[in-house]
Amino acid sequence: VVLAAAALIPVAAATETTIYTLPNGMEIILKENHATPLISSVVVVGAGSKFEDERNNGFTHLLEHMLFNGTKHRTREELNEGIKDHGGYINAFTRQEMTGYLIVMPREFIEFGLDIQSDQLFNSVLPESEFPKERDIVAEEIRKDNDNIENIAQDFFNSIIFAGTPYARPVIGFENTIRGVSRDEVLAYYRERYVPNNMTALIIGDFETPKMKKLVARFFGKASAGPLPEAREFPVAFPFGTEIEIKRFPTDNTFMQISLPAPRYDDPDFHAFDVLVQMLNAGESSPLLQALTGGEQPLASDVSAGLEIQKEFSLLNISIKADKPENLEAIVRKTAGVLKTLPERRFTESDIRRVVVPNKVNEIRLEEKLHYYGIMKAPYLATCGYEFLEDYVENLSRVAPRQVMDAAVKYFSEPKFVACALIPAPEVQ
Amino acid sequence: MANYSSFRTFTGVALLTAIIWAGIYPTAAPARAKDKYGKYVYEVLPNGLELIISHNADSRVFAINILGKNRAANEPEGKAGITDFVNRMLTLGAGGASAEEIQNRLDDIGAEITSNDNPYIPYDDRYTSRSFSFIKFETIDEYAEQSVGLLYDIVANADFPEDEIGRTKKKVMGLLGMASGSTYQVCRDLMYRELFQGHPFANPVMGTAATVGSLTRDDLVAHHRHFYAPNNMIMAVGTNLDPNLVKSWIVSSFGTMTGNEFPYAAVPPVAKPQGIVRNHQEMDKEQVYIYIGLTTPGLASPDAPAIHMAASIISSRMALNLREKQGLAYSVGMDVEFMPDFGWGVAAMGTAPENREVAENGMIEQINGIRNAPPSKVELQKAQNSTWGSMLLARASRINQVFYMCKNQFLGVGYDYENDYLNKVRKVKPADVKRVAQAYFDTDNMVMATVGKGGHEDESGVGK
Repeated sequence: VVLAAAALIPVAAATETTIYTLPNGMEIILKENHATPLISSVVVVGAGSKFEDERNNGFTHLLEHMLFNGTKHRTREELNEGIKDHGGYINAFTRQEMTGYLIVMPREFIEFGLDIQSDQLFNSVLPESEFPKERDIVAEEIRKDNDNIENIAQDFFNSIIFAGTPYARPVIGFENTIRGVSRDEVLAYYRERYVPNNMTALIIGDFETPKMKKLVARFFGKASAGPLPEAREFPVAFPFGTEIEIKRFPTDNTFMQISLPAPRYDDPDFHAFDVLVQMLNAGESSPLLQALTGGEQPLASDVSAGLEIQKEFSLLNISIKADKPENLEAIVRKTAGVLKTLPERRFTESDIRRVVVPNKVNEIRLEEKLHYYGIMKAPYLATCGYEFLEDYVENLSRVAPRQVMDAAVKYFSEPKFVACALIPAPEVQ
Repeated sequence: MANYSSFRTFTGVALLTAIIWAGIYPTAAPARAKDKYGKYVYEVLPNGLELIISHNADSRVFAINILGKNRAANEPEGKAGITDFVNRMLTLGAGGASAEEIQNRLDDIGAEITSNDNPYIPYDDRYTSRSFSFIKFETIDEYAEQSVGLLYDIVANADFPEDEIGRTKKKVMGLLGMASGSTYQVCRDLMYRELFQGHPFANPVMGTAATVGSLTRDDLVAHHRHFYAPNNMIMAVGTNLDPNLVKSWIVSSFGTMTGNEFPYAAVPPVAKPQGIVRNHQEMDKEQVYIYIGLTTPGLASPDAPAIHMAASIISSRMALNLREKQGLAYSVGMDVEFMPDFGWGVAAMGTAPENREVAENGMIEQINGIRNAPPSKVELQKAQNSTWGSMLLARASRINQVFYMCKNQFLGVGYDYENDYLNKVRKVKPADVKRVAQAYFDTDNMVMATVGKGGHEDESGVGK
């Protein structure tokens, strides 16, 4: 009964999607969803930390902060407090490929919200007088991150796995790079990247599409397109090998990451491989979790697996938390052992449905949570494009057991990996 | 009611379908289809389980929240964290099914169950409380009947297998280890320990290595039987389906549970700090964390909405003056939480060690500012509007709607209290804000906890 019902679930029956491009080149995605009387607008800007260099690392994120410091028409308070005063929410986030600007408004105030959002994106003045204070705030954010052991571990793993590429650097940068970058440099980057033909707006919520199209044209249609820098890609030569790269740090915990090559998002194997990864991350059903945390002498206390999807590559990252650093090699052996069993396994339709059904249900649940929706979708929008997102669950549901087996044979018969670990410094042990 | 201002950091949130606040927004609620079943069903089943079913046709999500009453007060002496531990074990064996079998049943219906904070997403926890526990369960209407049966097995028939107890202990010890290295978590616990001395709320929700290490299977089975007895639970369901049909499934499952005749501990009142109670814990970290704690009256007090507005205004002023003007912090703010008969205000901030004194004084100055002069009408209205928006956003998803229904019912104000509360918030006047701040945000009698570098040995104790 369950399986039959699963096949009948439409992904998002209540949602109607309209995709088009404004004359100035800005891509617009409108998704009507009347589940809540709210509307969310996230604008994805093609400005991410991968476009920085060693010297100015973090200035994309600093620019994101500076966009909350006033425009030609509004003061900082009018911008931030204006949204809150109308019962709305405003925020932003920076990633390697993009920067996202989010507003969530009660539907009756969406006009006000889009007015502010477009003003913030196209008319920010980046006042010189606000730079010192904003650098201080970002420095506090860096300190906060540096006090988080998981951030420290992740920064170390990235520095090894992506060595020599922009992906090795932290999005937030370092205090010295933030303090060293000039306003002129940030302003030039803003003028170069914050043009409508380098942006995509994803607007979802309780609106009628014809009316929303008029608002979009009014607020996002006036900005002029600009010349964009040449598109750059940053291929990564992963240092696959058998050595475990180790950093010692004053902590009680041992964090480990084992990264393996995975098919890129546009590779024909991608969705079959994704099914495999989700099986590896399926909570208590995960063979990895069972192997590493079960038995008389468990090697780890927690395990998860996930795909990192970037424009140039994908990676399967297996994250492990252990309490004994001396178990690292055994963890690698056992992990490799589990992966090597997958090519022998006979996957069934039922196995695949257990991956597909949660994805379909999650999509329905996510559309109620407009706050999260843009945050979750924006990075993929920038990296893979809307078509990938729109077809994702459908493509997942089309995966056949044979394809999963083929992917397992191709990627896990002789798994290559990079293994890194952050372990307690001797004085902590 | 979370009010922490950490711009550019995403924290957990979500929700509501239709709060009507005509006083401010004449068209706030969109027109809805005529509700065939009525908005709510409320009933106390013969075994004591309080059941609320909310129906509307807005969403296909089928959401259930179960609230266990008075979490900290009902944890046995020396067993702090046992409720958190029980919650972690509910899906690790129930009714003879293994953890893997339960996971498969959950995956078959795309269900997600959440009964603890996710520790890997810091600063996002709006749900964990010393007052109550939660079990959130989400799927879609197509799987509603199966999901009620599965949730019943998980909650009523947990097996607590010995091997899973060992595995869970290992996991919790790891999480406690991580928390012990986090300035904000250590500081928050330190503040609670001082503000609630001798009170159940002094204990950390996850317990300590000692209390968790001491837990036995017998402890867990006994606590589960006691704490998750139907007469100590409130269940709320949000659905698109006929509520009478949903109720029939619940009556034939949860309705068969046996009520517990043993008495439940009541939450004692909390004493106001005498003087400025300071406690500092030294940690070699890049930021120092500062927590201020104050006691207030509870939600039953007519002053509660004004106290909430006072905290909201102070929070905004802290964000403006300490963060946006002085660049002292990335994350700063104030919040207030209520039990029926008492409440507590918490202000928090992380800053560089060299800024600590300026930051502490700045936080106190912002609190005192509202005690010395009422806010302007405009400032108050902004806080009122912002509260409306936050509540709207925080109740947009069905799972959060049922969470807040349970919480309001537990707090004694009724599951559908929110519209009443917003009307009360709307009626608060600037003079009310000043009055309650003077009465309750007493910076001469408060807790000031700090964690990080640069403390002094004389910082533990009471002073003026």
